[in-house]
Amino acid sequence: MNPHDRRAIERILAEEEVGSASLIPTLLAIQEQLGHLPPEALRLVRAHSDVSDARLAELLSFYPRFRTRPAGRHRVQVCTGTACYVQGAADTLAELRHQLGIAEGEDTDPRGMFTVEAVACLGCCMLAPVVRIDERTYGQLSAARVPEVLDDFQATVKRRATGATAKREGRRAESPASAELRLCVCTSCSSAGADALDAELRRLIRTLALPATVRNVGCTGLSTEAPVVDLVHRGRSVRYGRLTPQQAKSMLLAHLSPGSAGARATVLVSGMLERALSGEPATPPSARRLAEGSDPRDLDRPGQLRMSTRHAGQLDPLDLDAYIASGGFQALQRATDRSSASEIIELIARAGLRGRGGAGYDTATKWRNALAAPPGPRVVICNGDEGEPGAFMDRMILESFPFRVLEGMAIAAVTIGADEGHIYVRGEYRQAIERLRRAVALCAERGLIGGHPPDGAPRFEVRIFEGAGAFVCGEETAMLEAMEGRRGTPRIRPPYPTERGLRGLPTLVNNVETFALVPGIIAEGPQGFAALGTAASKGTKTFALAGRIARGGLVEVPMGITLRQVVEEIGGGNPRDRTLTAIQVGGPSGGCVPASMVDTPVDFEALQAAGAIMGSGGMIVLDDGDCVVDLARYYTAFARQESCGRCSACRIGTVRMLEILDDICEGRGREEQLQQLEDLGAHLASASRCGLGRTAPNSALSTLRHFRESYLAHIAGRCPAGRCKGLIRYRISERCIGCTRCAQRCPAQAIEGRPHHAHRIDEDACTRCDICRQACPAEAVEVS
Amino acid sequence: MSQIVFQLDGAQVTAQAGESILVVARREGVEIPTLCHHDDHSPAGACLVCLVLDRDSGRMLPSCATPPMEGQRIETTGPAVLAARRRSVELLLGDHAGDCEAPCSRVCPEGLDIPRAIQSIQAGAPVLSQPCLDCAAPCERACRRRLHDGPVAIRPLMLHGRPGEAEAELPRVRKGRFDSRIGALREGEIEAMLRGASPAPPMARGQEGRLDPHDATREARRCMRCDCREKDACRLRAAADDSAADPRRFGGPIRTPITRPDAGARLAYEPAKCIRCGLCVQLTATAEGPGLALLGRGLELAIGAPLDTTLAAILDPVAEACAALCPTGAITREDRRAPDTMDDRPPDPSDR
Repeated sequence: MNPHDRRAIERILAEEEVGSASLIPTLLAIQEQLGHLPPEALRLVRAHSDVSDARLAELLSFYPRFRTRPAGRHRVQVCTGTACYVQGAADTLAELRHQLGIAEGEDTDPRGMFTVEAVACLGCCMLAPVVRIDERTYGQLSAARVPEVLDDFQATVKRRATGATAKREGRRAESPASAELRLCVCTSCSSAGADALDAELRRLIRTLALPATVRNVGCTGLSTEAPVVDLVHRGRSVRYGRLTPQQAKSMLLAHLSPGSAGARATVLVSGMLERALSGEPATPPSARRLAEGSDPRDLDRPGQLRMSTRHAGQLDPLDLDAYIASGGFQALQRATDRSSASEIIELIARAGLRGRGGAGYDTATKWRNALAAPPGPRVVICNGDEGEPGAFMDRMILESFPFRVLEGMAIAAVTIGADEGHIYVRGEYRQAIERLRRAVALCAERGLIGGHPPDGAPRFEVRIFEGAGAFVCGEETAMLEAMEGRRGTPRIRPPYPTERGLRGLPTLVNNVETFALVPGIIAEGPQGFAALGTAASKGTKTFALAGRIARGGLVEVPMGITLRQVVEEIGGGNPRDRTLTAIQVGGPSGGCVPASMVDTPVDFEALQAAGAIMGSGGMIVLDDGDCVVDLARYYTAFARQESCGRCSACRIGTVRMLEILDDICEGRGREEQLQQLEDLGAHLASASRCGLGRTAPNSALSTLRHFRESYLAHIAGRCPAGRCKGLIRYRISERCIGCTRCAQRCPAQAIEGRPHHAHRIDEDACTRCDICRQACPAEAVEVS
Repeated sequence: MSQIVFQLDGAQVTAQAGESILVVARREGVEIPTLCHHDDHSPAGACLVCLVLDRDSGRMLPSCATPPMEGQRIETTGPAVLAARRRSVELLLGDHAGDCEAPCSRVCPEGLDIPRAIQSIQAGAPVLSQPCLDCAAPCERACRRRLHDGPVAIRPLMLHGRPGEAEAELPRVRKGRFDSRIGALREGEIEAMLRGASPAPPMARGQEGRLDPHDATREARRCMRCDCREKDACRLRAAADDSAADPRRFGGPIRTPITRPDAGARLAYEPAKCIRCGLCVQLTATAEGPGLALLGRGLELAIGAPLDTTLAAILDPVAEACAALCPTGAITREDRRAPDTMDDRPPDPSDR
């Protein structure tokens, strides 16, 4: 280790006493510095703490984010979330490894340039398949596009090295303006080019002296249209989708006129010049108007109702004044000044709020239990460990509405008498973590949360705890173990965290969305919330809509509307003229609701009866081109990989279930295996130690229940959707024009492609990676 | 609330705060089988053999680790409970790569416990087994060492003693017990099983006539010890017997590979027999010096030595206690002599 790194590590270790609670953050900080955790670094950690060797080794082997092998200079993260999987992420991953020359069993290329990792959901499902290279996110990265994207990335690196990149405009005071451009810069929009657009808009406003300001706002949830810009001018709002920097100028000039004569002249001259030089009309393809209206709410897709995501697309996520001006922190004020703990809990109870993290436990009961614990310190934890592939509600809420979540936590803290708060966030959610840190600091400056409240009220300190991977840590007791610096093995309940939680203290754990709903209920009373939904499921619920859907993204809808309404009215139905077969709700713990049951309402119990669960709200739409058996295999593989291994049911049971599903998908299935699958599923569901294990069989059980005929077809040697690689073959039809593109791109060199002759696929060599089909300009590659 | 009243098989019982359902049940005289539970250690809730039914939620709870709740209705017996426990045992057996009895003993018409007899030969005791005189020695055809270099010369070993000097009753296999079987070995596993056995090549043909004591000890050390050292006291085997488990029900191609890592001279460690209860980890955590760690997760979860330490260094000081604590044959006392004499050299290439 070089002296510079060594000093950096010593600084990290000196910052805070390294004990159990700070072990994971400390190791992450060191890894951030070095790229990995070499033995010398671990020795330093041991020398600075009383942490045992066994504890360190256990952590390193449990949390996937830790790496003890050196990493390449650039980090390539391939999202393996559900939406990405369905759109071919496995092929993208294989092609990336192939292009970079990474050997079997390795994750880094021989020159140490790139480390390629498969990661859990990056939360950009509408851009699937998604790959992140360092800080750049690439969407729609099919296997065929891999070489192009690698070239693009290397070109960016080169530009950066020569210092040619334009620096992003800093935020600065802008002249009073009559128009406001509201631009979402959430992770999805950034991946879709929002940062470049932001810079271009600011540049244009400056050079053309336009009477406008740019404001970065919370996410509208319209990821399919990213980047999204709302132009608010003279009482009207116009929403533009997929706006490119090239379109920015004409869009602006359609609404605004340049502020000075000089600027007007510039516009005129440059317009003429452009015309003269390119021979094309000055106006580039015009920007897409999605919606307009007199109220910003008119811009939303009909059918939506915003509570946890209120003011989406209107407020700057980190503008505390704007949050307060829109009514923020009134609920906390009310809870602090005028209400007793039991009154607040009564409001929550009358609203009928249930936990949005998955199981739908009654929130008021949980708060009551935390309040009823013996006197002494208490803890409030916000569970933002959204590990469910295909879900990004929590990411979006944390990125866009950090103050609302903090206010909800602060209300809980006032209610149960807690002065310690934590937000546990997935490490993959970089932007959420940064914004939360900033939001906490801003609240502390004002004495709203933490800091020094003017009236000397008890301080409620909130800290951000960054996760180190492991889906199971979304289970609240496993999360507590992680926060205490141990392996994320779920504890057996009882005792429940409200009785004995973090460090043995009574602890209230609620999900991000649950906390985000609390301020509205307290400020406006519970009636409005309780008036929405069904008998037992009240209020609204956010869903991450992805898969085969025209307008995916993040939506918030009132409980009680049907899945059909969500998918068809809000989501716009199928984008490729295929038939809907199922809606997967709830991710790996959930299940598939078949097309015949799409009128099932959004309701905890109704979804469960249909074989799915509400979960945290992932919703993947499948059509007849998607294989439900393969999807069950995907989720079972996820559960097998994420099993902590502590109890026999989940450790061995998930492996056996996966083996059976592998057999079925690869053409080795036997009918009696279906019975075995059901037996195993029943055992896991009733006997596993934690929620992960108990819900792990759901994807297999629900598809077995609703799509048995598809299982039987696989066993008979046929995948009805044409997706299972062991059961399909690729061939080239007479439409082949002999262009050799497929042969050049085939990573397995399985295509004999003589120019101007019909090409042929060698079936034995073919790996069914689908690249030839994507590369063919004549649609001559057929799958049967 | 220091006392909890709940129903155990229909009877009202009282638990003290902090007690598990298992503890209360045992006090009430209700027997619940366990594998990973030990009174001196905190409950692991790992094996799920102690499942009981919570009638209200319909869920099966690990009684060792679950405290009862007020008014809860718990059932410790009945078809559903027994079936769930059997499934737990069957799942454990599905990832248990180990033989209870050795292949040689299984085929012995006399039911002799051949590995045990060979143990005593290793220790220098002469053996003369009259029934072997007229036997075609199917044991040698079954001997797993055949897969490597050639079977142990079992019949000559069993006949090498002189009349009068080897009178002792020979050990026999207890018939009718559950008998786990490894099945076909995977790549590299035969080499793993050779650990601790003499690498010496098979005896030359014609040399087997009557072995002198020296040659007998030497040949005996070639035994790979396929049977389980814990076969009489193994709690997994007992649970399999009690629940009439079918070991193939949840068997599958993926399982923990057979390895025999070095755990010091006093212990044998066979991870493929481990049920991941973590009792050994708890034991070494309280002992002096570095402790064991639970490494990895999922099926790959295993005990191991952290960072710069070795299993041997950690386990040696607590060898006796650890072997006694392990509920299966994963960690047992090594009862073979280390193959360290000149006789046990690997085959010299120049001999060929």
